[in-house]
Amino acid sequence: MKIFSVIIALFLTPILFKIDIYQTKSNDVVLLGYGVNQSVGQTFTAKHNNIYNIKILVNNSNLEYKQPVIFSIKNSPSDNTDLRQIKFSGENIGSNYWLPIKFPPLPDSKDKMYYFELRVDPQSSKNFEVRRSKTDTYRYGNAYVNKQESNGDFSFKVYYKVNIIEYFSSIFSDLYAKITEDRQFFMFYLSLVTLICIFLLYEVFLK
Amino acid sequence: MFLLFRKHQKVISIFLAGILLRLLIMPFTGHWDLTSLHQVAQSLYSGGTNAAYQYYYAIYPPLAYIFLGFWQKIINPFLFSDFLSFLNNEVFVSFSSSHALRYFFLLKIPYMFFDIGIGILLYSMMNEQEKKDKIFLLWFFNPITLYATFAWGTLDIIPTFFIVLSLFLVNKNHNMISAVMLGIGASFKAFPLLLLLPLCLISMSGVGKKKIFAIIFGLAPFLLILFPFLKNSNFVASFFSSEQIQIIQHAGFYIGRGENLSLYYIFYALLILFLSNYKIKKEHLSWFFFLVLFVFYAFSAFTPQWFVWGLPFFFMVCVHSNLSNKWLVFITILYFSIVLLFEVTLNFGLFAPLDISLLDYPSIGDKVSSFINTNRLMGIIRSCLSGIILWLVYITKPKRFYEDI
Repeated sequence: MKIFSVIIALFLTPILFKIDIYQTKSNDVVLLGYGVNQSVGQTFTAKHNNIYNIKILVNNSNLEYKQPVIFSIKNSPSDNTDLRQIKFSGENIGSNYWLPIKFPPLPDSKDKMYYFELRVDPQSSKNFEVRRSKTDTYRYGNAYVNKQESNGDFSFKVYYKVNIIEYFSSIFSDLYAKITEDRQFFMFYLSLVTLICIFLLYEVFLK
Repeated sequence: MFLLFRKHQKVISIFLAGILLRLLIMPFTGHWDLTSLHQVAQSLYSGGTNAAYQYYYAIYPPLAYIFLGFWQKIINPFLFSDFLSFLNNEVFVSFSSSHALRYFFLLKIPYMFFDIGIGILLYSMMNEQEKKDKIFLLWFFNPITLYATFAWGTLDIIPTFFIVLSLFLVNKNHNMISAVMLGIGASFKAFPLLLLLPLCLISMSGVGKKKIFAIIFGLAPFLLILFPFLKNSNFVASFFSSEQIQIIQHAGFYIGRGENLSLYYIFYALLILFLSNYKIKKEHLSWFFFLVLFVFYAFSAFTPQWFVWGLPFFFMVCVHSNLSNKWLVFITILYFSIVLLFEVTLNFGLFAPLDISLLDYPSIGDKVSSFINTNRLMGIIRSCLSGIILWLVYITKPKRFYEDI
């Protein structure tokens, strides 16, 4: 009975989240670790409150890199204060892997610029790849290598937490945005669906 | 005229409701399988065979891509300049396109023609009005087709149509043309070839030369389509090494020297020998189609879209045998249990055109893996499904369906 309740609870109370911003193009890499770079980072501007998870596209060839990695979020690259800091083992870094880094939500993140960073111990052996786009594909931020502004943008996704009402209201507002962006199609589509509904109702009530 | 209309009123209502369901699903669901099919099709037209079959996911015979590319030409007036990037970009970018819903809708329209065609053929193959209504209802409201074809966007409905058409033509005594239809179906996806031998052996019982000609006619479209592409190394590597072709061999037992006996091949060989030595009534051909395809499911880790192939014949068997609805419910529940254990892109993630974040949600399989190994659970579910399938094969077996040649 206990296991059954746990299973029900597990499925009835999902953590709801939505994607805030993303840059998924990746045609370049930066090596992080032994003999190469100590830190990589990216500035971004959050669109929503409660950002809580950032995924970064990484590649740990042959899962060689096993040393600790420190992830931090600051207000800017030059800021010394970490808003959030997470330390994790390099064993969590897979091959061609969207590395998820969850942290306590930043409640008032909307329209604020942040800087996230991955840094390693310069004495660490081995290295791993952090993937990025060669060109500047994300307009509202920049890539940084060793705290210096660099070309392109790292491949990343930012997520924010929502409750169930916020989730469905954002679905409807996104759908409304898509409808207004492609009015022609939706006018045709709604007309077609309405026509079929009319015929169907006529058929069903025809005696 | 009015009475004829009244007689078919129920069927018209079912048809309209079925179409409405499909329309409600089509624009709001999508999977990269659909965009990748069209990406390969687009490459075939613009860059030729080498360009098309460079993709590791270009695993289907050429007619599938030729047809889809042709469809792209037809809908071209309704496409925008971002259509190519919709096909070629990474999923997160393409699904977020402002025209994504339009494109998903347009790309699924051709499936509707084949889907409606199957419904009409099934309807016309039944003798009594009650059976016609039932099979029409089963076809247009079955959730498996709605999921695999109109939500996921796989093209299995197209070769399935040609198999059903082939059965229809056998019923009309056009046996040679029915074999050709299987060949055309195989030019989209190779599996209809599994039915060629049973079709020839049953529909042309006792006439040796005709059987051989029928097999040749059946293979001809498939080989003619394939032949010009065989000199292309990309095509050969992609098509013949596809995991889907090899999956049929995995259920078996090891006999030494690195060799395995395949359960399905053993079954198939026995079936062909049986059909070669006994005369089977043509009216039972639909049951044999059901047998060949559903035993395939029972002995393989089928991917969910393959289930569409055998559905029309399963429904025919259900209607002819007056099978209890509980079996339909069991099969559907087990099928969707398998679907839910797959990666999220194949279940909730199909609604990614509405919310791209769904692609990053953990799947039910991920959640369940804390309690039980997901592969083991999948194996249990598949075993239950296999057991039910084999039981259904037994209980629906036609009485006195064979006699000595």
